[in-house]
Amino acid sequence: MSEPNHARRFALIWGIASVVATPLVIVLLGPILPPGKSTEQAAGQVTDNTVLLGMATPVLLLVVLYLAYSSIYFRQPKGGAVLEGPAVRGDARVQTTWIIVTTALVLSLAAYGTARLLSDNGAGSGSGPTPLTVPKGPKLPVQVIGQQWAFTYRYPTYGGVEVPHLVLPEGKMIELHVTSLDVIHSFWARQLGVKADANPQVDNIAFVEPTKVGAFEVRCSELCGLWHGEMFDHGRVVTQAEFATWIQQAQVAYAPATKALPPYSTTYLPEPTRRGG
Amino acid sequence: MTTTAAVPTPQPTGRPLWRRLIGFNLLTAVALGVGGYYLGWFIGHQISAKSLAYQEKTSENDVALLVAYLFGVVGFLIGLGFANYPVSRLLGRPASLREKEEEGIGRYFGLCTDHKVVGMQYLIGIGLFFFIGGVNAMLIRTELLHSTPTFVGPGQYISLVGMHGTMMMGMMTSGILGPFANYFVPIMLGARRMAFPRIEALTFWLLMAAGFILTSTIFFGGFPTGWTGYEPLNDQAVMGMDSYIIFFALVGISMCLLGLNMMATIITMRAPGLTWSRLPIFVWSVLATAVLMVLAAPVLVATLTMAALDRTIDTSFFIPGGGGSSYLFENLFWFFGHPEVYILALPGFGIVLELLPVFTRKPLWGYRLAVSGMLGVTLLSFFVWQHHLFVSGINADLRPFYMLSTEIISIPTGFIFLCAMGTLWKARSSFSVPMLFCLAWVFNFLIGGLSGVFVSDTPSDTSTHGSFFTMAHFHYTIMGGLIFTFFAAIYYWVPKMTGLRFNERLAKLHFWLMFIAFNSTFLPLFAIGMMGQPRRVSQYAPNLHALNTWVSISAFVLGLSMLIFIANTVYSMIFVRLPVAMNPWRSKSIEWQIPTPVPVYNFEQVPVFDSDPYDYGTPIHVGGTRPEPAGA
Amino acid sequence: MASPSEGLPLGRTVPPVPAGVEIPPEPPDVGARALSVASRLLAGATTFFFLAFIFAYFYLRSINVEHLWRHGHIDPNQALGGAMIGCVVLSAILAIVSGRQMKAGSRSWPAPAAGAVVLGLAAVALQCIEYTRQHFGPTDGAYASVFCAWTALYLIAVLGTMYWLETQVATELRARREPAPTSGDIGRADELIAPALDATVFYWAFLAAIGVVTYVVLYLL
Repeated sequence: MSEPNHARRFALIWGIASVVATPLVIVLLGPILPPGKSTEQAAGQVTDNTVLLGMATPVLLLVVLYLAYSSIYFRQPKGGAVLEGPAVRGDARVQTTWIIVTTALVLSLAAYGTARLLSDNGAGSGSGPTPLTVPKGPKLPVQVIGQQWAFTYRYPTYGGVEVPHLVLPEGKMIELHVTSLDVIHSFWARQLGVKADANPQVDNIAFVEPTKVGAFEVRCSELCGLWHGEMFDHGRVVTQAEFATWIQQAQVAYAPATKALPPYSTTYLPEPTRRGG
Repeated sequence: MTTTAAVPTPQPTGRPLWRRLIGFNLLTAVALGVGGYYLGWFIGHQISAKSLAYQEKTSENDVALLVAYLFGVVGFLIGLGFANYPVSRLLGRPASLREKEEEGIGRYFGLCTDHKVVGMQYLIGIGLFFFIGGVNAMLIRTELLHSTPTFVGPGQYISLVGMHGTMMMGMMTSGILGPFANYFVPIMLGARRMAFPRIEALTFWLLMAAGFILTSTIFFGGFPTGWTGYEPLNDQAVMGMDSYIIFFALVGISMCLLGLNMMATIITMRAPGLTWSRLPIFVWSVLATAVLMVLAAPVLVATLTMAALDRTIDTSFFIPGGGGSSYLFENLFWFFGHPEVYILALPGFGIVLELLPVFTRKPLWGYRLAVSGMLGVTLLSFFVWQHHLFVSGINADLRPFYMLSTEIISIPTGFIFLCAMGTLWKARSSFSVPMLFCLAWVFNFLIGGLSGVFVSDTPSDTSTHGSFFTMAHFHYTIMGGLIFTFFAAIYYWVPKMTGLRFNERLAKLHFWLMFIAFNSTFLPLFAIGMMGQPRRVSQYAPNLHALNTWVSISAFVLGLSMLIFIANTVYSMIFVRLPVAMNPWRSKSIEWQIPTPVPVYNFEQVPVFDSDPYDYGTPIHVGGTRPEPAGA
Repeated sequence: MASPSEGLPLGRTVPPVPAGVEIPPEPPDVGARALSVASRLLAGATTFFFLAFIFAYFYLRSINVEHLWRHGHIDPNQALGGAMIGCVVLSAILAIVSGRQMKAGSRSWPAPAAGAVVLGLAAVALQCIEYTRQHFGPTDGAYASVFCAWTALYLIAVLGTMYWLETQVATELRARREPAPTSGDIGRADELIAPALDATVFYWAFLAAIGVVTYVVLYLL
């Protein structure tokens, strides 16, 4: 009877694989994980993704290696009568350990996620009209208005001017107020690490602090009808000086339009969405 | 009492064909369905022709279409004979269990109260609509070969996406419960029938009517909302939206009745000795699913009723301009919608754990843990729905709670993994096709579960929400979880149902092609999503073109694997017709101990159970009988 | 055991019961227990169905978008609404009395059951009259929407239950004239009358309780 100690052997294989693979995954994949580091929030999400990936790797290896191991070693011999396996119906120790370990893992994940969410002021996600945590210090409010099928942006502190492309100053906390004039849209600026649904009659607030100058994509990520796929454009993060010049020019350039607009409000009562109406 | 009365008496052979076509059958049903549709259309126009101004401008009339659909369904059901019994009861005739039925092949084309016939009907019917949903997926991937709308217009594209999603989410809820639970749960319980055979038949025919109605949306302009039907886009959409509403409402009713029937059967009709702790694990998973169906589906029906009223008589449940809220729809929809995804997943758990002992020749490892895992998932799935709304701004201060509840649900799901892995430990596995599909489930659902950790974590979800990442995640859990086990069940049980066996070589080819193509299709989607492609768009960034092309080609191979399956079915079941051995898998479960084909009365004697069906394996400490492991 | 090797055309998969084989009956209480379980499950499903409306009511009321929840004089007709819910409650009480009588072995139980059906239908009629008398329609804001949809769907549930209750009365009355055949597929069908009435009464009492909740929420709050 020279059956190897499968439990020990498998534990060894899994242990070595995890010890090798997990740091490799973190070191190699971590830096290239989306959404990049051009804002505080995006950088936070990269950290979050890296931590989750680091935790997922051993679990993935456990099950995949287990499948491979059991498929290789625990099979019916070829030919001959069908052999029966051992009539084991459970193992209280293994089950208890499993429950304890998974519970600890899950609770720590939830705790970590909550801590990250709160410490990062919503981590770039739409946090509703009254966010649980609000960053201290001065903030630049910018309103994002979704309508079929474009986003426009209003700067309430600059006379409520409304522009078709988002421009944000670097190094300043931005307070995005996302709302919609018709159906549900979702404002997704991937490189900024921001996503917030635009609901009619709702002022959905998200905080983001750009740290790098450059362009970013804006897409709608909630199905909003015919041209949902075309609802994308680009925005820019510029230096504070450039922003000051740009917003002055914009105020002048869009002055006639601003006059025609309704006064700035956190939400706008939408037109009836009836067909043909 | 004898059940001889239940056996259909042979039809007189001399009966002419035209005489047999008159009566309550599918032909009458279609005729009355069409008649009812036009009657409803006419009545609907009389009700609302002048009341709503926009209808004249746009030649749209939701009232007419909704009434037409409802009348059509009622006519269809009357034609099948579903009204006969209620009317006879109204007149005070005594209760009965079965309808008088056609004999022979005709049984499969009408109202039949034999649970085995209903199981077969479900298998074919659901297979048909699964095929339509699959063709939609192929068209979607064809369009995504280009980064701009080329193959279909943007309107057709979102309609395709909506039809694919709705068809799959609606039809496949009954994908395992319909065919396999209807067929095998009564047998596994040692019963002769389901508790309510007419309701059982009704669930099937409702589902068929529903599937037809959803397909008919192409005649009314399709619908732009995807399977979630979010308001107020729902309210804004053209008449095709009504098809979605009626479809999902009918599916909801069918689901609720199916679950009710299953639960009543499992609770009341277990044979002597079949205690709760001896119940096959598949029956447990059906029970857990049924709980979700009975409680979650009514909320869907209520929600869609509100949506239909918003669209017709101008109520304002979801219309912000009238005092309603789009959040209300999201809340109600996902209160149904999250249990719904477990309605899809749970039967898969049951199939895997039911089949693994057969192919590993070991008892199910951790029976109680598996049961508590299923019940835990059932309970928790009612408390997680707002994780679909992490970035919506709805109740943002509840997000830590929903993050916690969502992540806690992975504990009972983990039990299922542990039980599967425990059963594999020191097993004597033989890798028949059903076993391969079960092992593939372990891998797929693992990827699905681990990617679920990313979407359940709010900061990570900010990036992944509404992107292809999420789409890949739920395809791993639903296609990788449900559809793979669906095929495991087909390869395992259809030989019992038909008495014929599948071609093994084609089946293996199907499995490997499907498994590889599935992963090759959906693994890259995680990356595509992370790189910025939202769901349901036919326009994407040019730098994602190469990956999308790869995914599309893989998807076509996945489609090809389904064609191989169809070819195998036609080849094995119609042309070659090799009879199956009495118990080809050497299963100890009761359905394999009774004759093939299963007689109409299932059992001559009501069986008495003295153990669970996992009595495999040799006791460990019987000296010397333990053979050497194969790889040692 | 049938030989597995015969060819098996789809249509003929089910062989008839061989001559001389006696199929023993299923346990006599199966039908009764199934009905009882089903009525409880149906009550659960109904609860969740109306929970959607309760949720809609409180949700829309609490957010009160643009003060459109209940603007102007949107008040349901208290007299008709009260009469309607009165009929429902009275009908449920009669149904319970009928169930008690049946259990006590009294042969007069169909009378209160029939009364319950009449009262239930009267409730439906009163609600329909109320629709024609009230000063608002479904288009008048969120409260009006919830009111109209909720009451209408409740009516449908009441109608269905009245049908169910009527079948019990009709079955019993017919069974007294012409005893049910005992050779049917569930054996003695008249043994099912008692559990069926029991299940119906339970469900109707439950639905009436939902009706009271409906009344309190829509008329009194």
